[in-house]
Amino acid sequence: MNSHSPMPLPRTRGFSLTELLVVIALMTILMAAAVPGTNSLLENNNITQTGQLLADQFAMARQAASVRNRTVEIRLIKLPVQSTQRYSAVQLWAPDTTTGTLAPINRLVTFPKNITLSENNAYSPFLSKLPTATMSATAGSLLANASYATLRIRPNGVVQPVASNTTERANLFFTVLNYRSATATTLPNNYATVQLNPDTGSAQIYRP
Amino acid sequence: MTTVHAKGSLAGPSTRAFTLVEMMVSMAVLALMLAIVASITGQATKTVTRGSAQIDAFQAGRSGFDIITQTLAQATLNTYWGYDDDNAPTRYTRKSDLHFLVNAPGGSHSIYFQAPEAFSSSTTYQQTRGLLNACGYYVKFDNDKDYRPAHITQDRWRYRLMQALQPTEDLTVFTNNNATWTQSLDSLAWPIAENVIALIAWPRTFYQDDPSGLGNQLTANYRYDSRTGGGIQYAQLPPMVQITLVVIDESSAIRLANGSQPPSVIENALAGKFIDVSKFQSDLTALQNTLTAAKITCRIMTCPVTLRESKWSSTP
Repeated sequence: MNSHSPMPLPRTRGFSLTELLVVIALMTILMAAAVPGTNSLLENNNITQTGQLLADQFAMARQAASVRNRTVEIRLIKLPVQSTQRYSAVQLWAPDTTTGTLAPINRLVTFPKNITLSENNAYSPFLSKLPTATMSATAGSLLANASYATLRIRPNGVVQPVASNTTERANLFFTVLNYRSATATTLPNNYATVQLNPDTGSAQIYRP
Repeated sequence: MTTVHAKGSLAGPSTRAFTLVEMMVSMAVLALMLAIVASITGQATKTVTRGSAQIDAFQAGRSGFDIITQTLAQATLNTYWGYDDDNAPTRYTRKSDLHFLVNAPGGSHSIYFQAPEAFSSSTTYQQTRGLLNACGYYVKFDNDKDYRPAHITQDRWRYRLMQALQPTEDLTVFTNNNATWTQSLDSLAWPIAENVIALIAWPRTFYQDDPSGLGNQLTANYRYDSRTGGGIQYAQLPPMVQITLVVIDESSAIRLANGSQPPSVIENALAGKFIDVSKFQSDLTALQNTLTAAKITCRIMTCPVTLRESKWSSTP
């Protein structure tokens, strides 16, 4: 800047309040329009991830059963999701080699936020066939008094409880969806159905 | 903008804004670069997807193969010695109430046998070890509507390796003749691997007992029936069954999909093959060549399975 020629500076006037208000209003409108989109995108992503996670846990259980040559339990655990108990975590259990008592073989795997299994019989029919029990975790821990449903994979890959007819065999599936639709009778737009092969224990994922 | 400075004025740095044209050019360049990046990313994603799909496909095939070989290795006939003729016995002969059967109608084979898989739908029986089950394996081209979840509506016509496992309490092998017990088994079949186009089962003797290497001492046409009276196959298990699976990858299967019609390339490639053991290698090579020529990625898995329960004797 030349100090001795007091040339008028380029326009340095700030934005007027009205201009700013208009911009802020526009931004708010755009964001309001974008947020639900982003939310559903995140939710989709979480559903895909959970479907994969469940399939991976089944694959891991099958492999552990085969490697250890003993039946492995897959526990589908109910944890609070938006203050309601929903199936939203998995853990694998197997008999300990020395004591023979059941012990967890991996860390608790929780689903991403707000994602649960459908508890509707049409979308997770196998869930109602599974025996349920309550975790015997120490009081105060996350798992204290958490109830769970158990399915087992035998070393040869056969899934228990054994399905006795074709319809029951096709019903070995669980549907992953958002917590709002946990008990709904209609499927939301987004879900992932994970089906288990009754004879081999391998999982297949179906997406809409 | 109202303030315009002359070029070279001492008023300070030029504050002239970009012109519309400049902006448009830069936008165009940016768009072009984005398009290029997007196409590269797209291509990379496609390659990765295809690669992993291929791995998955062959993984499923391999696990199916493992299941067959494991189950088959335990096949049993529970052979005993009994009168050759219950009404007018002349001598003792080898007998069995069970059945070992390989059907080879040309193309893919089917194999039926009994093995102690301890499979039962009764919770009481499940605790018992070594319960006998009837097992069957074959390849079928069909729709997945009976196997998929009810709320999934999209049909998938594929070749599938089927496993039929009859629960202990429902065994029909003792009461029924050949056709009906295998049929009652087929109604229980469940797919264990997709995109398996052929299963070839070749009952043969051990390599050291087969100096000619032809593998035709037990059967020349792959067929084996332990209920065929009098012959060498009667009431005995073959010492070894060579199992071969031909698996194609999912992207080829998608490309070949033709609704409810099995792809003619594969049907034609299999027609009339695998009915003569002496042509096993040439049939397999011909099949592979046909598939390769049709740009179908395939993998062939072969393994001789030793039947532990077999007490082979070359006298009928």
